[in-house]
Amino acid sequence: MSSMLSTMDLSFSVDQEELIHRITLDIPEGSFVGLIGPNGCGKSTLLKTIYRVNKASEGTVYIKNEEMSSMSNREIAKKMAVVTQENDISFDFSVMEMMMIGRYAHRSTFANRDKGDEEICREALASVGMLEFQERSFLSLSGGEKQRVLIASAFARKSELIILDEPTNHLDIGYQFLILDIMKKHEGTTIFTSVHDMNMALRYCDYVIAMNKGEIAAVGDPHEVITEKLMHDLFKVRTKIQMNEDGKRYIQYLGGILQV
Amino acid sequence: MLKRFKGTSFLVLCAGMFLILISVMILGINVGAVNLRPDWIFQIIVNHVVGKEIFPAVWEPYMDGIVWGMRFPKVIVAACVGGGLSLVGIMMQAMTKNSLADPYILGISSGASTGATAVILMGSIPLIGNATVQMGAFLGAMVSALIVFVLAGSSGRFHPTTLVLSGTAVSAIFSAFTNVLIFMSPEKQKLSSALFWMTGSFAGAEWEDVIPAIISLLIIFMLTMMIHNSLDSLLLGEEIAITVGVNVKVIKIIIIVASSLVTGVMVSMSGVIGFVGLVIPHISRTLAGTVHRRLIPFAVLLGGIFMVLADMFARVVVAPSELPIGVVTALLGAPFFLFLLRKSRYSFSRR
Repeated sequence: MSSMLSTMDLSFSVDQEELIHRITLDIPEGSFVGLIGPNGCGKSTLLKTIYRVNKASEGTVYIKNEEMSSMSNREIAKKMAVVTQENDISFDFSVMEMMMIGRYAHRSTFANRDKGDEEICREALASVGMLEFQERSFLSLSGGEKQRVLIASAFARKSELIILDEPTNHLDIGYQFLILDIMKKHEGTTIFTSVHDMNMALRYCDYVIAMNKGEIAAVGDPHEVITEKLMHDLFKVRTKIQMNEDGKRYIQYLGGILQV
Repeated sequence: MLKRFKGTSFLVLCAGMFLILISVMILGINVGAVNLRPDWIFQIIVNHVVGKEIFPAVWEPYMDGIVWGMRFPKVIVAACVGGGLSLVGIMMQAMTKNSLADPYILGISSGASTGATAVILMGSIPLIGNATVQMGAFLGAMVSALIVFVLAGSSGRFHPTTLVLSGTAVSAIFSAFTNVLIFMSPEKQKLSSALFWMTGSFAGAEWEDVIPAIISLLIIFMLTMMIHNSLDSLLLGEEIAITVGVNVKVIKIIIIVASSLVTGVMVSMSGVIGFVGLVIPHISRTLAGTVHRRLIPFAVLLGGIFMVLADMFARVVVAPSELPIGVVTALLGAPFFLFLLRKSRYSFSRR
């Protein structure tokens, strides 16, 4: 499989302190890759450094083997859609207006309200079941509805790669499944997402990348990577990995080992 | 409300607003110590614009002087300043993702007034005259804008509290500079000129101000319309703006330079007029929506209408004397500012 996204020795530091250290990874085309690790291990920092909100102190990011630093923001946005974790929006846009902002890289400055763009946005909204909300105020939506719109906005960019930072954060369990099902079903797209819930990682990811203290701790098939030892070492919990009737693994949490 | 006006009907709405602006301007010319008939005002203006006596001059010759020579340039400058300051507010609000941002609150108008005063006192370059004052105001605005944005934006995002407090401090510093400059000067009319720079007035506006006012408004209007998509995305935060493909650095530079330029030109003609850049964009957003493609033309027109009306009010309320225009806008705008602060969305307690 050819490479969709890769990094080489990617580091990011703030005031001499290195938050992520020489990360080298490779996301194959068409795969669903989960980024896992405890709080503060550098998941968000790594993603932000890849999508250029953080300026890498060292290293390179490649999209389809092309160096990202040689591309304009607009070119990058066409190849890589991002659903950020930051959702602190206080200005009131309608759902369709939010979707059109997502299409920024595809619209020209002068052509206003391209009919084609709106059609693409409507299709994307329909694919997450939010079409009837297109005229609604984005701020009036529930957390799960907002997240579906943001994911639809990523779909509407028609990029081959989507990066998500904790897309199921703050969502109830039903919505967590819904969001991940939507992502999984989206054909022809490579997904790179940070995942909080290890059972979700086991269930949905083709590969996982486990991070700890700013470095990669393990990479591979989630059923091989996510072990009782890894859960103990990274997350400081006692677990038992169990088998479902359908032969899939799941984690049973027995208790924590952290103490005050 | 007006958000339902789309496409052609939005253009009709703007055309309607433009007609209101024209009517308000004629009304503005009408109001004053000498009362004039509105139809005469219209006829005098048409005669001058066309350059021929289309309408026979049934009015007294001095009325022609009042309308064309004095009041007409004033209302044009007032309308341009209102529209321009609204646009500056819109740009700064997009850049800081904060609807409290306004050239007055952020101290940029004060910076402009310091720059203008400095040039006036040092003596302008004879050949370009007024343009040197505007240049000085532009530089002053630029310096204060850079100070505020560096102070308040050092952590990468503009915290509402830090932004407003930095603006207040910078504003106080530059107002003090302006006053020091004025009171160091040998001229007699120190107090009145201090009052002009602190509270604003259109009393001194003349024909030579009209062209720079219109040109700078047109430039900033076209500029903001060219980056309207980027401004939309900035309201969602820098992170989203970068990831949808906006070159945030370039847009920020454009915003700072354009805002300083327009604030400089406007302040050099009218002094410091507060809160317009705060009130007008906010009202325009609730009426016409948040999307800048609609917000910008709407706010320019509304800002123009508002400023001409406020100026009229300033001239009528204590007639035959004239209230400084900045006092009127502060009376309306400052409570509005408090109201916005009270609304939880902008409250200081939020991160």
